[in-house]
Amino acid sequence: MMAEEHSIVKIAANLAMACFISGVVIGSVYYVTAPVAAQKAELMRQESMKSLVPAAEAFQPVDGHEGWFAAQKAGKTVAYIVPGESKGYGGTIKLLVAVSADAKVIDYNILEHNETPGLGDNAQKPAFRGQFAGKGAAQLMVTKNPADKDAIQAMTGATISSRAVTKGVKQAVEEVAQLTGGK
Amino acid sequence: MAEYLTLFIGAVIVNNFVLTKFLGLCIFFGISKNLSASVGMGMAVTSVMTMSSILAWIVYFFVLQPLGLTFLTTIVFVVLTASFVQLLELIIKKQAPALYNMWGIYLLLIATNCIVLAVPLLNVENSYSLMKSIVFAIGSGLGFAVAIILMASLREKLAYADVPKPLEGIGIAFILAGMLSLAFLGFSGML
Amino acid sequence: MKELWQIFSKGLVAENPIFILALSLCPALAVTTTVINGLTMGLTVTFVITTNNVVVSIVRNWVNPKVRVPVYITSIATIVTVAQLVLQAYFPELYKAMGIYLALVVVFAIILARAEVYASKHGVIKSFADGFGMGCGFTLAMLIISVIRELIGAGTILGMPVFGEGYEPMLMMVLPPGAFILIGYLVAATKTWNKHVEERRAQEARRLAAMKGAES
Repeated sequence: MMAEEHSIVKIAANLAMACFISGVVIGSVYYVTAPVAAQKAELMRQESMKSLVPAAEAFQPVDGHEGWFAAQKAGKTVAYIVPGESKGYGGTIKLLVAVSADAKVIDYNILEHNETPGLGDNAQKPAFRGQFAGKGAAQLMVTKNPADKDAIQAMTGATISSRAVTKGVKQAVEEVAQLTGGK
Repeated sequence: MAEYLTLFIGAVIVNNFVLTKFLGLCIFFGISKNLSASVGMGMAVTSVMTMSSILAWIVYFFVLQPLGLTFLTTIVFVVLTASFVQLLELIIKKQAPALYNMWGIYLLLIATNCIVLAVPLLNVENSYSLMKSIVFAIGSGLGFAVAIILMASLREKLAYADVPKPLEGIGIAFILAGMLSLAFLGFSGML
Repeated sequence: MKELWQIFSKGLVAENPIFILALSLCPALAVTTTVINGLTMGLTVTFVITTNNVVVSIVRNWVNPKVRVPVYITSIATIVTVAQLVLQAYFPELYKAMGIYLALVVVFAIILARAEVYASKHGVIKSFADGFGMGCGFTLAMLIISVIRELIGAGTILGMPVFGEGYEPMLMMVLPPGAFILIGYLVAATKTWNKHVEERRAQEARRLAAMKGAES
């Protein structure tokens, strides 16, 4: 009986010790890395916005619109960075769309997607992405007819992904148009 | 309702855990030699996964998140699922020996398995509600069951086939899994 | 020194964790779509398995046999969490690419298996060599798989085009089925190679025995 009790105490001590040490180790590593991680995440967000609107000098959060940022140059808002979401072929596509103050697309960035590698994920590549620059909501629709120069040409083998991205971008443009009153 | 259905079907076939996410391969290849064992394993995984998802969800949203300890998620979930399975094994052994004889062995095998850990992690990562987590867990478990049962039926037929020597055993099993996975790719885009 | 090398090198081919033991295959495959991801996963696992072997070897005399496994799991989970935090802070892009599979390193069967089978019975230096060898073998396997997949499936290596413009990538290789089929053939190849080596060794032994016989 005595021996058994002894071993139970020992087992408990063993486990408690293991948990304690692991807690201390993780806690101290977290203490060091957490600020770095936060800094890095902020830096990456800034950089990704900067790459969308290279001309901007500062980015300010927009009141009343969560996740929105106003890209400012010389104190004036030149563009809006708007998070967008759309249902693609393999799941939700998350975008960050840069829309100019007069509701035209500047550029976009795909944050998260689950499209087919090599087909749908070409949406990030310049060949498809480049078509969006300067387009307003009315021109944002997908076509498979190469003669149709105004609309967005679908990616080969990925019509659904093309439509999804275009829809997400269009939504962002319309939201900006609503905010600025279509100026 | 439609939302739950999409989630469920997505977990069972479109994003099948074994065939498109490579989760639970250890037991998948280990058990699928035998059809009846595969059925048992599929059921055991589904039930354990559902229960541990509920547990993990409660711990995450009521303990870890309010305390700002989300960086401990991995370790807490590992210990939680492993000890939960051990506990379950003890209870079943005492209360239902017949059930234990049937399923006990599988419980031990899944105590520290990727699939049982992955579902709770995915649930909190996507911030699913409790109801959604349960639907997702059941769907994932059934997806695992579908994959392992299909595989077992194929492998039982394979016993009569003349397989090239170097491919015998695990080699041909992988190639078969590849074929199955290819078939399941056909479901993507369904949702 | 030679002994250490032997302990280390057995993990590379003869007992390569992926191809031979078929352990810990699980999530490893998911991240091998590109070389950089495969390499990150390999190095993370090497770090975890080596550190864990050392830790287990140090504490092996204090841990009660009854709670051996829970203590080892706690140790592995701690090391994995540390790796997660470090990657998240310094390489956020890789951290994102690894996704959930990074956390799942905890349940890679091979890590617990090495702790149980080897580190709990051997000294610190030997355990280090064993863990490091297994880790390198794992990394090597991940590298082979990911190079083949990226090369055929995307026509690039480390993101750099190899085949030029005209190459039409074979998409299946970067999709899940490609990984399964590729592993199947790689397992067969390692099996054949090891058999070949064994046969040669047996032949050598026979020859030596014959020579000895002739001398006497």
